[in-house]
Amino acid sequence: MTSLIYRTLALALAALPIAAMGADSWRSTSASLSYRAVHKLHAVEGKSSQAEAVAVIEGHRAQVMARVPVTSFDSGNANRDAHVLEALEASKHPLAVYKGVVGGFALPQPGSRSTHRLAGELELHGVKRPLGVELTLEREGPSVLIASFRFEASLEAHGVERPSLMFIQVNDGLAVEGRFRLEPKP
Amino acid sequence: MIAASLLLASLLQAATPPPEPESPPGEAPAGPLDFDLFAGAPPPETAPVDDAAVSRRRTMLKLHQGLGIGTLGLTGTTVVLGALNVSDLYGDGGSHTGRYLLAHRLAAYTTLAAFASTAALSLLAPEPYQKRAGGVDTATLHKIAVGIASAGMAAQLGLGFVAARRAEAGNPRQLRRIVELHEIAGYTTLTALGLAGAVWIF
Repeated sequence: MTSLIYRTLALALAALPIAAMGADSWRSTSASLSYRAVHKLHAVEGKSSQAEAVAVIEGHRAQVMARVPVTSFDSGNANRDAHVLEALEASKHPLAVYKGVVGGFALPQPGSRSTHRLAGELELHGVKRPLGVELTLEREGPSVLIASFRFEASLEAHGVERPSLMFIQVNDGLAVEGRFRLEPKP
Repeated sequence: MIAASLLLASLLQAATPPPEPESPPGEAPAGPLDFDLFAGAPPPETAPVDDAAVSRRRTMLKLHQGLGIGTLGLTGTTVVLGALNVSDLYGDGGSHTGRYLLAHRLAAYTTLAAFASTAALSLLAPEPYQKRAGGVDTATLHKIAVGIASAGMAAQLGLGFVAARRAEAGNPRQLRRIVELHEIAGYTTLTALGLAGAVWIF
């Protein structure tokens, strides 16, 4: 009888970490994403609040996917935004998508933060290119995670004809910065 | 009992794998990226866009930009030739030869044609994207400056024409005043056009 209890207890306890390692999904509830393009004469910043992100954590590995409609960016100048959409061929490629994975991952404890290096790829203008992203996670409570990041993407690497003003093209590097609020996905 | 504890400990250890190292920067991802975490959920809707209109708009606005810069240069040339013409015809030290008259007229007509073509390219360019409502942006400031320049162009044309007819008819009545107003309209137009181009920088 005693050995039966021990065996049952052992199996139950052994199953605990496996359950803890089960897939844990988080989804963005709000987001702010911006790009900054630099031209010899000035710099331009476009902002979007329509980005979405989902993260799936499985054990010590996390998968992340984020997407944003390129039409949702507002630089404060409708003509310029239209020019950007022309350069990105928004009708053919309406979304910018990032997918990344990180190993050795652990969620930060509530009230603390952690940084991680995502290895992944960015799809812009229908062209996928590898991109590493430094991600900072801040746990605001048991069920609120703030993810913030910034990276630079090359327009030409994604086959984008750089927009120009006064016949001078913007720089190739596009600085992207974002902040997502994530909550557990039901 | 001890054996059971050891068994438990070994089971727990076996169930918790050692953490993988994080992927180093710039290296290939640790796993495949063929996942779709949105599970096919549609992205926020975007309005359909007419590709032909997008292409036509880009061509027309590129030409608009080039012609606009050209018009600014032509306006500057016309203003300089106009100032030389006024100085020659009405200035105290002027030689009254009228040697800048034809050059000023030719430059003025060319400027007007370039200005009208530039405006037409902008006004006729299709707008395939939905415009956001409200707010004053750079494009609004550009349009205000171009509106002032258009009024200036019209005033110059009218005043220049009246001044020329009176001068040709030997009618000096208010001629000097009309010429002064024509000059003011010229400088105003040049300034407004310069601002119309400069606002894009901000």
